[in-house]
Amino acid sequence: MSWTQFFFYVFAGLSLLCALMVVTRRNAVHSAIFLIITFFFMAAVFVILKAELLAAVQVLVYAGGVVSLMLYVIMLVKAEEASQVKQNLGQIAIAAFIALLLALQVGSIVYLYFAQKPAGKAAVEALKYGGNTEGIGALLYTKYLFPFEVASVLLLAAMVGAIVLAKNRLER
Amino acid sequence: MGAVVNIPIPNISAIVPEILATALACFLLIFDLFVPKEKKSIVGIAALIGCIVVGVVTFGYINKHVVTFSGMFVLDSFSVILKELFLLCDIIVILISLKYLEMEGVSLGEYYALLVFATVGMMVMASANDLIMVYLGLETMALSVYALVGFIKLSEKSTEAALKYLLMGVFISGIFLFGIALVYGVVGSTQLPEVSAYIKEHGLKNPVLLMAIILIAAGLGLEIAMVPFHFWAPDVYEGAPTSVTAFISVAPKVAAIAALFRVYIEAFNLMAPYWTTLLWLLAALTMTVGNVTAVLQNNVKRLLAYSSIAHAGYMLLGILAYNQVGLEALAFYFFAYCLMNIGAFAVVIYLKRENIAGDNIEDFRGLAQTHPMLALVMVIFLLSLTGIPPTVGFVGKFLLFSAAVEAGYYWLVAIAVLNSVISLYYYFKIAKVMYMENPEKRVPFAASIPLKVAVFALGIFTVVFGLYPHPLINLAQLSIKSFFG
Amino acid sequence: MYQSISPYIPVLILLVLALAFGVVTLMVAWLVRPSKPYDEKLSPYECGINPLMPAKIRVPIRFFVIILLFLLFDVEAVFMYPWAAMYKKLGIWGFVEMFLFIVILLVGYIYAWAKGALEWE
Repeated sequence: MSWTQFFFYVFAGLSLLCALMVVTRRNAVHSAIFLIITFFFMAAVFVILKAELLAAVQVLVYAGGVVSLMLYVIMLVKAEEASQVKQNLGQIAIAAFIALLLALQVGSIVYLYFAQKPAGKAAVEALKYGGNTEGIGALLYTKYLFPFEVASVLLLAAMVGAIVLAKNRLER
Repeated sequence: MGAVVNIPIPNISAIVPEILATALACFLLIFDLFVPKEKKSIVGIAALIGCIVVGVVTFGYINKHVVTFSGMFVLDSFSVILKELFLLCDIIVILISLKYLEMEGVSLGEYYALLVFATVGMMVMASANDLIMVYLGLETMALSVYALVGFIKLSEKSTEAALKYLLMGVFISGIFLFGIALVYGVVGSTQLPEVSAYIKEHGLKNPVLLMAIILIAAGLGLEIAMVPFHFWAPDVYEGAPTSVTAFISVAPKVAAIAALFRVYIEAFNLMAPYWTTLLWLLAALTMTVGNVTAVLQNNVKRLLAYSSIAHAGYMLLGILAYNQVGLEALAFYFFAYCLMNIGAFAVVIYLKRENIAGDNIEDFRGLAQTHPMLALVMVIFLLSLTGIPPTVGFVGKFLLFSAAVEAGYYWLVAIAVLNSVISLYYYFKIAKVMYMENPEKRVPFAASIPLKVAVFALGIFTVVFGLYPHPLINLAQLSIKSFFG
Repeated sequence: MYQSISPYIPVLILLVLALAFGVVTLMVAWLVRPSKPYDEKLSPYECGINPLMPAKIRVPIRFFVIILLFLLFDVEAVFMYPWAAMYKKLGIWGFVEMFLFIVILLVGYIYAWAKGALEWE
């Protein structure tokens, strides 16, 4: 086992462990903190997989933005009271269904690997430009130009929507 | 390193309608900042004029066929017809919103900007030649619609509806992305023609792609309000401002069905045996659940919500038929559905008075005595929704059913006809209340002129296109060229 | 394989050192300090006076707008990394593309500013 593989398994295992802590902690704030740690370990996994941009996104957007949004929501609702309530919303059935979907996905990837079918050619293509970030740049601003510009409209619509909904509540 | 990046110069002229619509939305957003709070309807009028201009410009693109932006964007007659439909929806919805928003106490200019943003999203969906584009269009549309649904401040129902819609929406969009990821994992591309080429080369017995077909149907199924993703519809339709309900019951639904059609026909055409089985089941379920549940409703907005679920089921027949007649019928039905469904919701807005929401079936009591013309128009919409001549709904249903018969779906058409009979019962529950019962004490309606124009114009067009459907049929036939030669 | 992650070895060393610093400090403190626990030590310290109210209060909705705007501009910034990495190769067209992207989002920024979403009131 090479060092790369060794670190991959270490970080993957740690991120799994932290993810498990996220769903088992009763205190929602603890869950959120563990979520940040999970995102950091996943960023490390992405670095090992040579997906540096994804690692940066993981830290900037997820560990930075998304978790702070979650923490805000936790603080908006009364977290202490919520943690006392025993919740059973029948989530086990839904969770089992989604877990089944994910298992099918992993299974299909394993199947494709053993069937010697190519599981994607973009990664190889990206290396042509000298790395993941450059590869994404070369694709995003040429082939995926139109989706890129539409994404800005999407972000604008999201911004307006968020302000409209929150401002309405503020001005009551 | 060292590979030179060539940026293919795209055909900008093909996306002029989208550019104009985006510019219009941005303009409305900024323009709104300079308009005083009492005069917000000026923003609405600006939006109205803008939509008409974009509509006229878009119409110039009919009969063209352009694929550009590295195959991401396709401009064909089908997409142009859809874009015209979305803009038509916008125009009608703006007309019925102008006064209604003031009555609900939400005279905010952002309303019109969000409406146009949603339209941009749907226009992108209509022209999407790539699963990523479908997703981005869907999200742009959905995000704007969530905000529109929660527009009434201080209304818990409106807020609850927006939250429900949002939670369902993000969950399902995750599933949709999962489906796209599976396609990308197998094919190495998300472009519809490339997916089709891969299936042609490697055969259609691929479990992962089969899974992707189901997930894509689920992802678009939420906006279609297809069973089993229909639970949100009644609550959201009831809680949203009625003008928004009129919009979301037509435009996003049509956009999602059209996108589903394009994805299945362009990318998974060879896997038709699989997805026709899936859609057969979903269509039968959607029709039946929608119609049977509608029978139990006493709130007109909820009733129309279930009826719109049922209509989505009928429209799936057009995809299933998978032939020229089916596509033509689908395109025709989009317009028919737009006229009659927005019309029915417009009448609900018409009934809105001080302290009366106008969406309870009791509010229709004795309408024939107090407002005979309005009652007549409502009956026209109800006839059309049921599919009884001489209305546009009849022609639409006739075309759809005959396309499905031609494709050999006898049992499904039998179920659909049976469902239409059930729908007769609950649509005429409203008619009965209007004609057979006496009115309560009269409260004058405060309908504005634009609303009156919209309601009666929709009523007239519903009948005119029912008696003389050729202009619409000719328009619908243009879309055939996009897919079948 | 070993070579491929070498640029990140210093990061890993820093990570381990940071972790070790925290753990070692706590361990040493635990070994050295006297241990006399009593209840009063566990109560929140508010400048010597008794606590007035629970420290965990519900946060006003204003934060929501701020965080959401932060998130959206964060995502916008992410799009700039690959652009910056490829800037020289993309040339003038790449500049125009990013310019359009930013202009569209600038509309949102102006809107948010004018609406007072960035003000605290």
